[in-house]
Amino acid sequence: MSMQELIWGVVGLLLTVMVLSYLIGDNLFFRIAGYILVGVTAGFLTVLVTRQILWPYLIQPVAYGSWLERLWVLIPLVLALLLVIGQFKRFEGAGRVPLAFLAGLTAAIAVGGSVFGTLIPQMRAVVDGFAPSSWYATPGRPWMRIMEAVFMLVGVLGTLSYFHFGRRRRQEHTPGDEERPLFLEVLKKVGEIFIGVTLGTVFAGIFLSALLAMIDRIEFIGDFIFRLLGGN
Amino acid sequence: MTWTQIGWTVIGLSAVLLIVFSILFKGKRQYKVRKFTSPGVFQKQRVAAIERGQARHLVLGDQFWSRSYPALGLHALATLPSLATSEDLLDGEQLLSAGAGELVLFARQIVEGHYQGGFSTHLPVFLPGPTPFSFLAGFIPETGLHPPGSVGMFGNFGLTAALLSEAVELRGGHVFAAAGSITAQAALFMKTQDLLIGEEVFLLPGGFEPTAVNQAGWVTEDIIRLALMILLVIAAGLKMAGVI
Amino acid sequence: MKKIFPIFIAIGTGLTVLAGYFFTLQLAPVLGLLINWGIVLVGLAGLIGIGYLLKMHVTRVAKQQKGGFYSVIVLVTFLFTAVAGFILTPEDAFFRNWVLNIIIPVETSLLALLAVTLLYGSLFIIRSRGWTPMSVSFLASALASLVFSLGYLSPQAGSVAADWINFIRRLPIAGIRGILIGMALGGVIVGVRVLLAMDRPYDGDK
Repeated sequence: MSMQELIWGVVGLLLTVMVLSYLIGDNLFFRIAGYILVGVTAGFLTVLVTRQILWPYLIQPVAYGSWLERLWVLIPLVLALLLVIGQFKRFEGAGRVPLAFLAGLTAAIAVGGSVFGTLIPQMRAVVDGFAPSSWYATPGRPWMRIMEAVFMLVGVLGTLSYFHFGRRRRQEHTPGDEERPLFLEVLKKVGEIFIGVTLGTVFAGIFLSALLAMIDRIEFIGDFIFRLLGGN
Repeated sequence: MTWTQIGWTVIGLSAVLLIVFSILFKGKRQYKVRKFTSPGVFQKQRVAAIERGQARHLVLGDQFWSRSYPALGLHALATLPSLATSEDLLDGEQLLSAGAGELVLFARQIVEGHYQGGFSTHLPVFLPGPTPFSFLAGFIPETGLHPPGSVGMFGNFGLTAALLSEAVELRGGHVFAAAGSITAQAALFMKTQDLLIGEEVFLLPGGFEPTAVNQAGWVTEDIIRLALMILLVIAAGLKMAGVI
Repeated sequence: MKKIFPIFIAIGTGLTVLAGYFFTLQLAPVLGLLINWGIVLVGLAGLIGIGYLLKMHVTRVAKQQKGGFYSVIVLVTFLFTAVAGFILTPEDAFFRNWVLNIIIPVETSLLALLAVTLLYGSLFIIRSRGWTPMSVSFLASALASLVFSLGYLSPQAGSVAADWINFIRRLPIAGIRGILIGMALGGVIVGVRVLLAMDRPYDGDK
């Protein structure tokens, strides 16, 4: 083991043990490891953002670009200056303009992304399951594919019914306060099971990832100590 | 009608319905929604925290934007005005944190907007860490330094949400989670009782403050959801018949 | 004017970007420009956010508040990383070792802690959630997924059993699709509210 490997190995080992010490409760060592991560990540991001975003997109064109390039950079430069100035008490309103730009940009991406990136592809996938050609596309049992398409549709309808906000039209303060309109209430019961199944599966995935991380750390500690003691 | 046209119809219809219902609900009309208990429980816990002199913490997510959930950051910010009012900020025990610089800047702007007298030098908005894991690593010790009586989680979270929630509960705090991603919800499902699941998160901010616009949001979502459900059934039938 | 100008900027930017989904080719250069400006602002906002993080820790140290010792750790590690990064460049072997040998062990160990939290929490799920269809299906599905991922249930491809197992494994997709469609719908409403200036996170007004 080289000196460099030894040093970084000790750093990794110490940090691992310090974080895992949280299992016996919040303590000094866990906090130190946590705050080291905060400091290092903040420093690393500062370097990355400056070198990979601000330098090529903003500073370089202003310092070394042609007049045309400088002209194009003028708007983001003004927005950036307003954003910085807006953090000072006296110029509090200046930050509104760049933030409004960001809000508008994000809102449009949210709308477009939600509709064309999620809603439509997901709906298409449900409907495509009903294409007779897809039932016979691969060898196997077509009735299983038909059943899967039906379950998929019922599951999606049930899940969507679960989220209905409105309640059944009744007088105030009746048990029906918590109920959706009748046909949605029936579908919702199916949806509840599908949501539970989905969250359960996702949970199992998260648990397995976390377990793998635990195994990785234990393996790292064991491996490092073994090598430290002279093993290969 | 193509799928793209359906997409544009959804966007157009949302805008029209939002405008129409916002005007309609400005009067006495109301959209009657089901009873959701968890936002009410959260508000009660916040009051209880004030009475005990404990901190109340609003967490606006560990990211502003994500590819799968692009609107969650904006949603967390839309919820903020109904929770961080000037009265809430009076005792100095209302903390706001986020894991992204953009969220911090927006949150400061929103809080500042609530101060009638102008910008406060002591805006309680901070960034425990700039990435999801460093956010968690910075947040957990903060719960030891300022034990929170109540914590509300809004916006984008990943699987680390479970550790965050656990840290608060270990300090005796109450957690309300309207964390948007499926991963966060699956991780929080077992222990966090006051948890909004899936699209339920968009019950907020109306769940705290049922203004005309918020009610218009509910009814618009209900109408379009129903329309999409009907569309799915029709499209499946047409696909099976070979029409589309 | 002070209030109207930001609204005008938000709506103008938003509608231009949204129109870009429709007139993809025609608006591509404008969209590229707007997105580049957005990247610059997001980057800068990130730096300002880090500035606030540092300010909080500097204040704690200067005013000798609770947690001042930890703040010193944040400030020292930040300064060391930032200075090393600017002097050595992010491609330098020492800098990469320094960053990766801290970030990876701490993040992986935090993830490992999650395994214990989740395992502990799962023991109390029925106590905390009761016997509801959702909690029961959650538990059953989580157990089934764990069993499937162990790989013991892998019948011969093409057999009836294999088809059934595949069918069961694909069932959660229905729920995922339903949740994603719902979340997307909510996302549309949130976005449209900003584009209609009903929500204005940039000026604090509702």
